[in-house]
Amino acid sequence: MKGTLDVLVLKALSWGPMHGFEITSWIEERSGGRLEVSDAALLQALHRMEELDLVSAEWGVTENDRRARYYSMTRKGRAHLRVESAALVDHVGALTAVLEAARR
Amino acid sequence: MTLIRPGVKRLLRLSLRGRAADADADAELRAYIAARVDHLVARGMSAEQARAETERRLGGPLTEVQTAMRESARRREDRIHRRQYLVDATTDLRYGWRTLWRDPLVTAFIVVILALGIGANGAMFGVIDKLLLRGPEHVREPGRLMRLYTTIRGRDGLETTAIVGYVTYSLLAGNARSFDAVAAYQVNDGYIGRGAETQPVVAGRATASFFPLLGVRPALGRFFNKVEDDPVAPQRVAVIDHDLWQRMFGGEERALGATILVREEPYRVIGVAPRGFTGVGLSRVHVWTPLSHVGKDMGPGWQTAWWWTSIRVVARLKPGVSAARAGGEATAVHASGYTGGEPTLREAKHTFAPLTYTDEGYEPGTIAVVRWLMAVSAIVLLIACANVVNLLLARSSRRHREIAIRQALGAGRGRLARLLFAEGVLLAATAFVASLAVAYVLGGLLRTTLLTDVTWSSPALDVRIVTASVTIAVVCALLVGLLPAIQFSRADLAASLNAAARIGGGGQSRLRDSLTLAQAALSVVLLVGAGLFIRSVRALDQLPLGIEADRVLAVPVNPPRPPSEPRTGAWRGSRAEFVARVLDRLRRVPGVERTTVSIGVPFGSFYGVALFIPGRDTLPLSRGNPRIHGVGEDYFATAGTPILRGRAFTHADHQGSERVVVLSERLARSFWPGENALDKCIIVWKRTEPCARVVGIAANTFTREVSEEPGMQYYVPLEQVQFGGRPTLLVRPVGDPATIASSVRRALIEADSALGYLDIRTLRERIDPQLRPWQLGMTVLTLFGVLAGLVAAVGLYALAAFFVTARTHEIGVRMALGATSMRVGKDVVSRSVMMAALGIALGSFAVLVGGRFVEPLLFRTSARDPVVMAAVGVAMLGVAVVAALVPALRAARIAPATALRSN
Repeated sequence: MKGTLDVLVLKALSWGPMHGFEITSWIEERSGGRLEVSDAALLQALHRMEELDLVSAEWGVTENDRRARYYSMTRKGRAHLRVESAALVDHVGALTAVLEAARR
Repeated sequence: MTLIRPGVKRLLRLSLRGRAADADADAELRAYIAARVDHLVARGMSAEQARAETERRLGGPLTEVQTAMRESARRREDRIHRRQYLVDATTDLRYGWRTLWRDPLVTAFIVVILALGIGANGAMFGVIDKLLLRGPEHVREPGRLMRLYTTIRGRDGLETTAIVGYVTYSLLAGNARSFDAVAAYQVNDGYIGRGAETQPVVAGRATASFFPLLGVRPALGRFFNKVEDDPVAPQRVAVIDHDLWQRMFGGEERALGATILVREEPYRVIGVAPRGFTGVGLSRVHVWTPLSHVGKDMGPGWQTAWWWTSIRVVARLKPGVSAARAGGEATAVHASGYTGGEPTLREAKHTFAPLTYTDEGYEPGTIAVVRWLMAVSAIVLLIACANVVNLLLARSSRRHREIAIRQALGAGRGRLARLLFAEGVLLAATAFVASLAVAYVLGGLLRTTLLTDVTWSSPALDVRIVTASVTIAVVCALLVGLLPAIQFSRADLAASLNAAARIGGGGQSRLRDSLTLAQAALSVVLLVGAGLFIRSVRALDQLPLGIEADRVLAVPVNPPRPPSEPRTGAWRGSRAEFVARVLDRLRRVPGVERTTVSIGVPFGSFYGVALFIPGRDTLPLSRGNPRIHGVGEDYFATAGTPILRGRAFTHADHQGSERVVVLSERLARSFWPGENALDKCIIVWKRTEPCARVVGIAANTFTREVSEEPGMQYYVPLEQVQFGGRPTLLVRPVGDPATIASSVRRALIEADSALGYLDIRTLRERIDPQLRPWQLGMTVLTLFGVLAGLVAAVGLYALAAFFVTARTHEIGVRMALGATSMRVGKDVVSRSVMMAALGIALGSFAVLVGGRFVEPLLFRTSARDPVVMAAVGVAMLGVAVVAALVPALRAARIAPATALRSN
């Protein structure tokens, strides 16, 4: 679910700038390992969100001294998160069902 | 972690194009995979396990994921690029705005020049659009509408006319295949109402096919049909125009079924034409009635007679049919359908021409002039643009240092060029807004003063004019923005930084010089054009008319005719009595000096009657029959036509006395060259008629138009005339004709209340509309010429001023070496004069080459008129001197020490 992924990514970024793998890990940790996002889907979602000006990106250096593309949330992204997460919570029942179905 | 502060660098990130975006996507993917492997290894997995898990989590084969990421990255970069462009454009505009404000005087000047240029073009487009492009209002697909012309080989060559007979119309309507529809119509002056409520109108008559052919729909009711336009028994129904409907019936439906009097006959209103409908012409027609009503003037058989010609025929050509093919078919139809006995008529050739053409098949003078004026206004705009480019270049030279620093700091040349382009766009946009006001005012002026015979239904600023203005403004913006930008992107960075003092590279000043030269040359062309039209109008003013046009009121009248009396015939019976009675009453009006009657008046003589001289087969006439004037007693003194030799008519020249004739000087000379024409014998009308003795020679005057060769008329006493026609009363007051017009009107109504509407105007007022094309040309060209001259003056000033600024250092050196102030100043002036002289030479060359194309538009003026050329040359040199004076003074005041130190 595309819309859901966007909200999850934005939620992660609301804690501060992260690179792609940090976002994946964050979502996985917070969901207790129950939500597993495909890497390809996440990276493309990030590109799309940057295109829509929901996030912005800049190359930086990680703790392990590796180069990584850091994403941070834009003002537009913050507004998007507020609206869409409320909508998601509203449909939490349906969402749970979907997440259950997505689980292996 | 917080290497990047969110939002700060976002605006500054430059977008990546093509390969760079791919590399970025690849790098991101690699970094991501590395991070996951690091993470898994840190959690205790072996390197091999970690790689397998990473592959699983990737969500697809590596190459596919890579491709997908490259795609999304490219899309993203494209979007960012566009967003960035917008941000840059806004910045450029804002910066451009600030730059323009720094020089408010120059900016205002540029805007005014461009606004005048764009506005003039917009206004001229409005005129062209109405006269040529748009076609008459409410007419569907006017491009396929054509008017029929017929050409016969007359005695003096080919004669073309749009006036044909009903029989021509019915032949075409019945037999031709090239047309969707054919219609006939005529438009005449008339009047509606009765007594004190009589008002003059333009009355149209048309066949029932006329309205469907044009594709027009009534605003109310319907148009008349075939039954109502029956040639034998037409019905009295009328369609009124929208304005008349509003005025007479308040725009209410009760108009339908109401009765109006048209030329004193009652017609039932059955429909209202849509607002602005003018038939196939461009001037208002108040009321339309079935064409077949002309039959009652003509008598039975009019619709099949070949001698009767009084209508015009329009046809809608089928799609894809050319005018030539339609003409060929019409000619064939005519040849096979002609039943009359005249060989010249049988061989008549039919052609089709646009609705805008005159009855003689020419493009009218106004349209020819307007076409030229459109071209001229475009040239004026080009001059204006050239000048603006010049000013912008001069300014950007002064900014060389600033721009060089910007370049050194990393701004690309493209970016700087865009900055200059933004300035051009801003200038053009501002000028466009101002130009709408110019177009509105100028358009209104043209309409009300010079194009008065066109009925304008749209405002002086409509959607089409605004659209045209936008287009023109965009072209200007491109010219004004791109030229300096291109020039700039070529500028040499290092040279600018090094030689900041000696600004203006060779290439740039060459461009500037040639622009100024072009301005001067074009101004010369325009000023010469204006001068030629001024000469034409003066030639018209001084043209001997052979009449005192300002002193004579002319009143065409329709003598009431009892049904028993034939329409055509001698000047006898009730017609003569009527005129005698009316003239008698007129003579008693206080302030009237003389009065007379004439059938055929100067500039309004339609009656050509054959002339013979005993013993000669043909008369030496260059074109057509001379026009006959049947004149009353005292005609020559009243009209102010001088009798050069012999005598005028007297009361002794009546019906029973010896036949007499007065010839124009030209006719007398061409009939009897080198001889005295007095007392010679000439025969009027038919060879069997008795001799008329030439008793006088009158000054030449005109039959229809000022552009004709004058002197094609002769005069016979009205009582001896063998034809009927519409008489015109001529009244010569003691004082100003305008003051007496109303008492003349009262006296005439008093003498005969049945006279209907009276068109009382001086002969001058009847001639004036003919002069409008020249007046139009003179007014607009003078306007444009002066504008162009001013622009050129500013151009020369800017050039001289720039020259002085650029050479301050050099001048300082020269003065230090002993050059006098006088000498330095003179150099500046002579440079400007040289430039103007080159411009004059170039412009004169253009005039000499192109002049012959303008010559047909002029009146008795050569396009190479030396007086005009000399005057323009002197004026231009004067302008060059004046324009260079201020810079020259500045050069002369340069103090050597200061100039040398300033570097």
